[in-house]
Amino acid sequence: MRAPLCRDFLVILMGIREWDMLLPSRGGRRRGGGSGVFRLLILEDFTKSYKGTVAVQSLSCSVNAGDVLALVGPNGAGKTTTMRCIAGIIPPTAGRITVAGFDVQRQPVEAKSRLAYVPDDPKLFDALTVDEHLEFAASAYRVKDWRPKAESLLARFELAEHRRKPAIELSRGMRQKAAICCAYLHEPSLVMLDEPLTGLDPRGIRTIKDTIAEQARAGAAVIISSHLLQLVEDLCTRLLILHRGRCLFFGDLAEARQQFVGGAASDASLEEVFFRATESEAVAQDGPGAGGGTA
Amino acid sequence: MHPALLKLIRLQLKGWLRRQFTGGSVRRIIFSVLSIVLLAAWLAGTLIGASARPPRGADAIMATLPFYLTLLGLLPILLGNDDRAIAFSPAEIGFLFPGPFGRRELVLFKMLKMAAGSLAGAVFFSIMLHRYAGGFAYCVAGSALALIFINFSTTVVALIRDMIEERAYALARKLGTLLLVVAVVAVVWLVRQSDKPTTQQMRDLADSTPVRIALAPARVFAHVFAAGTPGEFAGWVAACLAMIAGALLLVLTLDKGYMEAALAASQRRQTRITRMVRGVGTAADKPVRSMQLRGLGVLGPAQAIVRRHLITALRGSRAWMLAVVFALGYGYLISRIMGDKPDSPVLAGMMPALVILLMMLPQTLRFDFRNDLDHLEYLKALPLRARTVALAEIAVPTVILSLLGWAIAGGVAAFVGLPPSILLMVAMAVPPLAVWMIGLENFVFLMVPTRQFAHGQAGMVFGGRRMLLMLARLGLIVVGGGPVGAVSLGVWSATHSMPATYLAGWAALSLIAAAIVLAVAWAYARFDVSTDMPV
Repeated sequence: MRAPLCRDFLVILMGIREWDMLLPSRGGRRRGGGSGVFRLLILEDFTKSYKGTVAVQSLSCSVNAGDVLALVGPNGAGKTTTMRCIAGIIPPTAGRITVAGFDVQRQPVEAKSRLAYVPDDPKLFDALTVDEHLEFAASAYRVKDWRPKAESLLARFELAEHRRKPAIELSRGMRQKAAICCAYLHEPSLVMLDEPLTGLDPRGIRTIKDTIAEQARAGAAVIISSHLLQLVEDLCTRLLILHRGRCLFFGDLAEARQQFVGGAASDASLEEVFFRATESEAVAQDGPGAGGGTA
Repeated sequence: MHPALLKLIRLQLKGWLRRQFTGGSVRRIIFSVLSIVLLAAWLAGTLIGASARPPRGADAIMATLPFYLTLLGLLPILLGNDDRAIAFSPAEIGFLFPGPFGRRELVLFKMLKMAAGSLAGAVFFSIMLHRYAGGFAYCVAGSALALIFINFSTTVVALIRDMIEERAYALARKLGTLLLVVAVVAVVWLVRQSDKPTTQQMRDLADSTPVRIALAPARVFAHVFAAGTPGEFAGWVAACLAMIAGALLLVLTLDKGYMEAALAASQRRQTRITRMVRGVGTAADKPVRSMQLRGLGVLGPAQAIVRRHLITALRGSRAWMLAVVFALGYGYLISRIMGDKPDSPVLAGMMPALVILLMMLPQTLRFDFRNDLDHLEYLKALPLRARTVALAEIAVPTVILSLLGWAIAGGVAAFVGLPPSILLMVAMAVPPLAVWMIGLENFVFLMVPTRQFAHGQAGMVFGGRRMLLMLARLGLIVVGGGPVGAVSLGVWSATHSMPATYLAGWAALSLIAAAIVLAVAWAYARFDVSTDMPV
């Protein structure tokens, strides 16, 4: 709790609203992070219900700068709902979400300025070209001198030759890449990618994986939701398993192996861990240690 | 408002204009240019036609316009679907909701886009309606202000709906609809009871206290249309702007928590739009029950295609049956009007039926290739000959159209009193006519494939293109009808026998129907899914 308390203290004493101004980097990101003390995302007792159906129940966890969190779970587990609530798209029913020190509900603009969310099958503006999407993103996040950064992203994601194509003429993979370019443009502190690897060619997958690792190395917190467990296994440093809206596990992969597979199989894959965790209905339904999701 | 949102509006407008004239094949560009020329010619014709007639006086405008404006404002509230809240597109949700924008900035962005859309709509309206205003500028301003106010008011109601319980809102809406129907019936009854001219009666009605209260907001906007001097016009425009500002203030006050409702509404709306773009229609976006259709096995390998279209037709039957009921009502009205002429009872009955059969229903019954645009790749991979696929594809709408044709003929016979021989001739002619009409629709569709519904991208071109294709269909009807007429005329000249003439004409019609099936099969075989698929 050190960082938020510190921020609140500074806000009270000095009237400093921009906590990130104190950090040694631009864009609100702490570079060279990974120390595990600066929590860029904090979920406190987060619950989301839709007309009586609980989508996510009492989820508490935090993600540090430099962490790559794999958010996994079967269909309908509440992964996308969680991401949407963190992104401020939909409000939580209960609980508190803090991004880079800003409450998503109370200070949505400040929080959203520091995050980027790319949904699964991202929808672009049909009539706008890739270039125009980047221009809009730069304007939205008030990114100065964005052209060189955009050029670099376009080249990296092999979109340079498609930059003047309207979005309606792009393939799904290209749309995905264009959305990720827009997301990276303002160097967000928290990057959330929902199924980022689906529908991409091997080179595209490699590029996205590389950039995710780079984002984390640069001090961002990254959350990836994916069913392609083998592909995210070597990326993630933390793991959050959701099942029917409840947190089955939150922690390091090694701890997950220990908890669900046993110490004898310390090299068990993420897939194996996932199956063991989710197939154990009794754990999901009754386990007091697993349910509730406090981490 | 955040400057990025203004930039987005500018970029979208630029992109829309770019899409009108660039990109795609040469054929698309030619079509676009032709479509715009056609649309411009139609608008110019309408404008000239309206200008040639004398303008309405201010009294006449004030006597009728408030009624229409009130109705225009109430209809979307009472009869509109549930997704009229602040509906964001999926791209807006993806980019704007997680973006660094305040809640109210997003609402203002949507309101601004809505106002811009109203302005464009107002120009269109004014071309047709400027006779009902003191001047063209007054008409544009009045239409724009009225449309903006109606849209903002609808948004206010939608936001209030989000705040109150769904059941209470549904009840209120039903009561409102009932009251409106009762009011309309009462007005119609009162008008029929009186001997005064209709305009005078409308004026009397408008002068009554309850109606004056109900029409008060609309009267303010009607004054803009009817203004006699620039000073008067400016005064009423200021009053309208104040009302719009009030509505906007209400939207901004009530906007709390709209995002989640907007997200759900937008998803439902998008699902519906996707279905419409694919040509499936809007009916089947609710849970459906399974259907057991027996007896289709006799169709052999084509049964799978027929079964699929039949299930779609039955599941969406409410939508097309409504269209049929509307068409029948329209036909009945026309036959009653024409039936007043003593010497033309048969013509009175036949003409509307023919118009409905030829022009309206084939457009509605899209359970064929027009519904299968996104499945053409799959169809091409089936181990079926092109002729089999073509027959299977057009079978369901042809059968439905035939059944409806017989029902219309029967209805006309009952109302107008057709002789049995004429009824038999009509009944025999209906199936080949149905094959011809549905086949023609499919042939034109496969030769110039278009989405059945344009979503945002190319609205102007889309409208013109629909007109162009309609003209092409009419041309093909004439081309096909020529040989039938020629054969009938030849036989009549040779024999002077009505049965022989009819049979010869019927045979020619059947041959034309068979030829169109072959033409559809040919068009399907030449359709290249890699190049011919419309965006």
